[in-house]
Amino acid sequence: MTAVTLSGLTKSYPGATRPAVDRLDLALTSGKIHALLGPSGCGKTSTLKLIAGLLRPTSGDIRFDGTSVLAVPAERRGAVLMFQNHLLFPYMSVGENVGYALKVRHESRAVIASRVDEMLELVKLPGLANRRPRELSGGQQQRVALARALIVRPRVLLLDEPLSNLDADLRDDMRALIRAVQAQLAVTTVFVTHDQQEAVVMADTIALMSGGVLLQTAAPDVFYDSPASVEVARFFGNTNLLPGTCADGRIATPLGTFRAPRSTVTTGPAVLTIRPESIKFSATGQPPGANELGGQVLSHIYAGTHARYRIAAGDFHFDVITDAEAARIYRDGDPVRLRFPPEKIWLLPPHSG
Amino acid sequence: MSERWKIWAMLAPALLVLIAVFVGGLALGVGRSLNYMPIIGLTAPNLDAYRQILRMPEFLPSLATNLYIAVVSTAVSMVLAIASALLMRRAFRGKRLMTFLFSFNLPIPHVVGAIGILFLFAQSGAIARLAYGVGLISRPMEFPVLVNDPHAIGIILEYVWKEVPFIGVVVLAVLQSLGDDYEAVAQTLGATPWQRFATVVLPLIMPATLSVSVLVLAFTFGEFLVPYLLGQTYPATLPVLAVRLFTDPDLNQRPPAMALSILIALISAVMVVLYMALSRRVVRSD
Repeated sequence: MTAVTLSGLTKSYPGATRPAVDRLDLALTSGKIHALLGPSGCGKTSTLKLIAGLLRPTSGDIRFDGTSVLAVPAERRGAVLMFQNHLLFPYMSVGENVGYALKVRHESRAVIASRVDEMLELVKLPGLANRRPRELSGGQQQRVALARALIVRPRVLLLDEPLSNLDADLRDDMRALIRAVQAQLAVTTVFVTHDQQEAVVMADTIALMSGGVLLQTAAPDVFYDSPASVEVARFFGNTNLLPGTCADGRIATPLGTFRAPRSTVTTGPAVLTIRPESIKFSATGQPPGANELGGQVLSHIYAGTHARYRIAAGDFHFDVITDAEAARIYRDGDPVRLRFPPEKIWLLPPHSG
Repeated sequence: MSERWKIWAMLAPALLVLIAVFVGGLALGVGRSLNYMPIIGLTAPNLDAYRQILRMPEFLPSLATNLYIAVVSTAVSMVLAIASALLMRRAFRGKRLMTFLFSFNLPIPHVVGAIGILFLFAQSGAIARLAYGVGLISRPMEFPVLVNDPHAIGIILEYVWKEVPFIGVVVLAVLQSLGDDYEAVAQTLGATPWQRFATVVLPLIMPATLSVSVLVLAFTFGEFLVPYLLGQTYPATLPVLAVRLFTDPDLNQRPPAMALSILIALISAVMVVLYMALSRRVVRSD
């Protein structure tokens, strides 16, 4: 059980215009799964390699349980990295791969053999120690790589896009296995992904990064309910933005005034956001009531379990996700009535730039 | 004309050359080495020429010299090539210039290298004169014998000069295609720099390194020119011996010359097969 603290962590590569990782402050609690989420080039893999000790930071500090590990080389830091590609050594058997970390520590043959069996049991691949890595399926290879990473009980387990090379169904299995094994060993785990869905499903906390900078750190649901900025809201699929001016728990917009008790801004310019699945709509009958407005269906996509609508209201467009039934009722061009439930509205400071 | 015949028709010129020159030449050579030459009435093949070669007092010492030169040149080239490839894969200032210099001698023929070695390392060569000039040695004859010497230093130097870049370029390409990730994994698993080299880098580059070094082994075993220019007179290497017999004014020496050439080819083939079998056991890889 190891808590990892990053403070002011910065990594600049020679010749680059801006740092790959820029003054990152992050506290990763012990024994939990943490996701570093962001688009490619956001600095998340560099952060992982900095924690592992494979990269040397330009400035800032990395502490394990309060003690700086900057002077500790990667081979003694106890932070094991597992890559997107399993990278099993092709010239070794599965058992030799899993036992590698013990072998380089000069453990006895008997100890290695029994620990290897134990680890293969843990990743649900018992009895495969004598196989060659190439004789296994992609999912099995990834599980062997996980067993190899965990055999020395690392202080920190680092996973770089561990699921992105797997097929969709294998991905679910691997995700469940990582969660189960992580919970069993209670090893502090940091994984990097560009897939917000994957981060939400797997992680206890998510750190969203962009351009080397940390945008927000929080539990997954916070990113949906109360994102810290317009950029974060967009990354998590909230594209409904309506500018206005707020005061006294209300926001005045070009489309009317809405009651909005949840806000990061008390007064002044603000942006109303509401998730596509939070907007309700119905046929126009009576004139719009409180927190309601009239609109017209621009287009819609039937997606089996749900339907996505694009609806015009004044000069603005809103994305709305409804149950699939709606697709039978509302057609393109139909007039509809939108309702923004007050508790679902979230007011943010205007986009800074 | 059907597709199949078209392909054969197009291949015919190449096949003709291959068969006429290689198979035909080889068959004539084998025939000659067996004293079989119907055109002058020799129709009963025998092994006299082979017996004559194997009874030559120079044969075994020559074979030993040959094996010594081939094995030492290949081993030294391989070690130096791996070392330089490991150094050169890192990013550093002047890497492009280094890479250019490294592969600069790939197109230079061996004869040029051999003459260069002669000019530099002979007792009358540039280095000896320089050493004499600055007073390191009092007479040119004190300069160590590095050319036409019993330890074949000059020959091995020439081969190493030529083959280090040859093997090195291949190793470097393999290293670059592998990237650093395997080593990074090993490092976070606790492997020290030496352990990463011995248990990760070396096994990963071995298959390609062995395949290219077997070419060096076969070449250095069968090459004539370099030992001819830089080797000692007795025992000469087998190819030098074969050419000496072949150019003998006594035409009776032709069959033994042929027999020796065939023997060199056979020994070379056996060596390659043994080397491949051995390396497969060492590497155990896919």
